Amino acid sequence: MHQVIERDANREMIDMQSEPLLNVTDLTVNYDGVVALDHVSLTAPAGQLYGLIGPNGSGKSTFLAAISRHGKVTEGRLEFAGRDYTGEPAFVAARLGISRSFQTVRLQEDLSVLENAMVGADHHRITRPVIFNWLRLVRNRREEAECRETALSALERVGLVDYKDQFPSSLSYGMQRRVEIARCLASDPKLLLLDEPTAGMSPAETDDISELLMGLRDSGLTQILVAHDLSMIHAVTDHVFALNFGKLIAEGNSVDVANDPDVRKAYIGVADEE
Amino acid sequence: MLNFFSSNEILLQTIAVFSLLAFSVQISLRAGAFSLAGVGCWAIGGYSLAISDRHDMHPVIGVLIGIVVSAIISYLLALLLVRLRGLYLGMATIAFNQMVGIALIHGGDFTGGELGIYGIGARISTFQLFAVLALVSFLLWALERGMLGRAYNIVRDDEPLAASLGIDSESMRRFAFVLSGAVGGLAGALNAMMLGIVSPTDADFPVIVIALTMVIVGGYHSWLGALIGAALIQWLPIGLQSFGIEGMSEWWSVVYGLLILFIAVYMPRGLLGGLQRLGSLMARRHQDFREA
Repeated sequence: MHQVIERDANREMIDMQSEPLLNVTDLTVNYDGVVALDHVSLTAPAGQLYGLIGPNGSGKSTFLAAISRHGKVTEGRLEFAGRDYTGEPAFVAARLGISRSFQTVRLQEDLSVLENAMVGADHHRITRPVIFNWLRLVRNRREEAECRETALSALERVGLVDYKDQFPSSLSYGMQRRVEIARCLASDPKLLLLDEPTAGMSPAETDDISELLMGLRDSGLTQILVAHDLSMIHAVTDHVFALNFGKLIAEGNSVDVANDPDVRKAYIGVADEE
Repeated sequence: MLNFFSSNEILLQTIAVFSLLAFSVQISLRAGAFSLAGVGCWAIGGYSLAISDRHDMHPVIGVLIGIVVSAIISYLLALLLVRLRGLYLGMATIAFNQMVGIALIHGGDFTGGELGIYGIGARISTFQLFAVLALVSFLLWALERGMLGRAYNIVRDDEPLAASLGIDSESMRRFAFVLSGAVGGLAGALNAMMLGIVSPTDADFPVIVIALTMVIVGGYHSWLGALIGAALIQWLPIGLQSFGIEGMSEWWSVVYGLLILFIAVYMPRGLLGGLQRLGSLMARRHQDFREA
């Protein structure tokens, strides 16, 4: 209960101050001397759908891993809704409201579609120590029912409610991706990070996902979308960040960024410098 | 029925006690920790009971001491081994068991040295054993269903995913570690009451093998699998004899080996997993039949 109140209070604070949801300052990531991200600073106000683009190896996934705290941060500062979470582990970032998908589909094969989505909805209960959840036999039943409702409405948003009793292995790739998005949505995130959600999808499936993401944006969810498909980025995003060699080389609306000389150079493959 | 119980009382008691030992290993495997430290705790629990019995304490106190000491040692072990996974964790926990065994041998009068402690006065009835088994089964059932069940699934299979969902894998695994130790200690204490004797071999390799076998044969995904495995492995030698095959007991280890091979190859989730798959296949066929 306490946590819920705290969460709502946090949310109100964001609304009132309308400060940036995500604030990244001088983010640098080194892997054994290789600089994967080099002093990247950016600010992302709430409510928009952001695109993150860049050629292979430009640092997009490293950036996503760093801000979800799955990957390391060598230097710099991460702030979410005004709170510094640079040193926190990934599960704390998730509890703050940063939800993410991965490049590969990661569903539990032995859980049904509904149960997979319920895992996301468990989000607020899982903050309690195991022993409290374990011995709360009567209240668990009620909470389980609520969690089921949350998961069902998330599945409804992604259009998979009819498949709730199926297992992930019997769904198409595109549908599995949507189950993952439902799992994220069930956790009621404030920021959704999507790592190439449409990679390997048919154009029709990609269109479905685009529509879904724009719908979520319209309902107020802030998202950062990593994608290779520039036409999709162009179609759905409000604001684009372009990375190359671990540096932020351009940002702005998708047309401006696409026309940026540095971005063109990075994509067309003109040799850098000498 | 009553006749069956009285003539198989020792078998039933053994099944109950070894089910608890199997639970101990199953709890940590289910949480994705390949830990066999439950066997060390089994010895610790047994000795705790034996020593408190020698000091004329009530058996319940002895059992509680066994549980608490095992849980505390498991907690410390969990802190120490937090970064280890898979085979490395398995090896480290086997080393822990060996250390417990060696400490018991060199414990002087306190642990009775190589001979251990015999003539334990405390006794336990079959009914009491099964009451304890039922209680622990219920607690494990509660741990495996609903949200905790789902969360432990993910902690076991995919830690980065768990983290992205706000699950603190480390603390969940630590909890499983401590619970595994406590249940191992409980099992050991009850075993000491059942047999009236404890010895340093309680932490030895054969016990590790039998504990792991019960869990793998029955299926480590659920407490029920551990229970089935324990019952089968304890009953099998007697069962083979009762089929009237003379000299079968000599072949027992061959049958045992074949059984484990068969299950490892064809039922990676143990007997329980195999039965569940069979059940869902039959249900699907039934549905197809009705739809047709």
